[in-house]
Amino acid sequence: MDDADAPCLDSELPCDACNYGNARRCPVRLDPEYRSYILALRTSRHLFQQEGEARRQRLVEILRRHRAPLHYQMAHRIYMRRYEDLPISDHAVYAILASHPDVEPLGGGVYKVRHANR
Amino acid sequence: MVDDQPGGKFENLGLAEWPFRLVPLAGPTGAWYSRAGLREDLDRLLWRLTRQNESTLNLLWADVGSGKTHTLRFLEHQAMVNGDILPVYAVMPKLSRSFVELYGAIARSFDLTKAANALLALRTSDGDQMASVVIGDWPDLLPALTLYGSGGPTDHEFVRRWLVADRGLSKADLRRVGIGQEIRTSDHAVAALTAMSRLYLTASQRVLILIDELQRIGTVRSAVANEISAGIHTWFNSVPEGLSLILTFAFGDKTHVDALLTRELLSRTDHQRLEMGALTATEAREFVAEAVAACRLADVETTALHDELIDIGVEAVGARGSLTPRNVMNAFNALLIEIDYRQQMGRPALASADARELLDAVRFDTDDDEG
Repeated sequence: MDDADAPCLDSELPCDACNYGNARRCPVRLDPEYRSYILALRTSRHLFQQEGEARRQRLVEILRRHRAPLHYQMAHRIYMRRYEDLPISDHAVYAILASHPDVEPLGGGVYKVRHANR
Repeated sequence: MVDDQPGGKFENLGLAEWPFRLVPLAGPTGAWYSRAGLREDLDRLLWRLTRQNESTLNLLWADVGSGKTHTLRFLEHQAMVNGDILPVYAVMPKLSRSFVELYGAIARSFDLTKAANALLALRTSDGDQMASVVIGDWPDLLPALTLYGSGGPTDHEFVRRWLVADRGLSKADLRRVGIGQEIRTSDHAVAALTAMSRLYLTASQRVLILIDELQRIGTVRSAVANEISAGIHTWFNSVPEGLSLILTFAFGDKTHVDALLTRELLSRTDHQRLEMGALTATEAREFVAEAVAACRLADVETTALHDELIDIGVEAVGARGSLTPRNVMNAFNALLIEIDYRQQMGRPALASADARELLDAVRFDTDDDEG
């Protein structure tokens, strides 16, 4: 196998920097099938993270457009009506709103978007 | 234009009254400025309410600061002028645990003297049996309104507290006046509203219930929101003729209205949806000109707030905020106060540059602000 081949998990990480230590005996490098499996897992995780971020953005956008406080369950209803092909649970909505830096909790499960200029 | 007001407080401005209000109205108003399209929609709605018998349920969405409360108060006024429509204006409470809180807000707006008189007239003309049929959903209204009609201020207060679902009344006191139970659950509340609506309809062709701030349904748990929606649609179903409900929502995105209500309630809403967004620049100019004209002294042609200042004000609002009636009122209130001050103190008239500088200090709601 050529040393110039793209390495396994992260193309920015050269083989000699890998914790595995022995690039010539690396099972990921040696086994194309294994490598393809690992890459598929990585792509899937990347897509999952992308979708998570997109959900966060969609939810904050809903709150921003609403311009009034919303209970997380009602934000969930608006989300589900707008993005019915991209379902999300109300617990996930709660988790996102409760941890988002641009969202202000008002108590009792009610949230609003923080003003950009404050 | 206001007649016979010579020598009024604002004569120096050519005005009989101050034209710009910054706080919501506490009562009905006949004032309407600009927005000819919306005015036509409201006139059309009122026409229909007097023309047809079936009950109606309309939704009104308004962007924040667009004058929703003023519009409801205008509808209330127009209904009163009409005479055949009995308006009831209520504001949804900030906190709701069930439909009972919304019920309480509506019940607080009921004119109990009118209700007691309607009951008395019904009993006199058709007898107690018919009265029992009309208020059959909530028979306790019979002893309660009878007491209200015949009693003094203490009795009035007692009946009112019972009717608005006040929890502080003792069962012994209720029994003493013949009232069987308190209004505690959503079923009780729906029954009481149904009975009250039917009673009002013996004295009026239509009862128009205007519910303000229903966007607050968005701040309760989904189950509570469903219960509130269910309460409204059960009440609506129970009064198939003569009842009109207008539910209003103030938030930024009109498409959210449908998500806040249940499908059952939405399926009963009228095709005529009322919407209030920001004004166009032309509408904003008309709005100011008409507000000033409505307060102008009878014998005065023009006022201190001339066209150039109106253009400057509208431009300033549009550049820094939404052209909502609230922002427009804020801007021109500030301008007119300054004009008045300068005139009273003998200072030079407000120049364009001064007006722009003054408006820079006025805070306007932007699209990011909430109501």
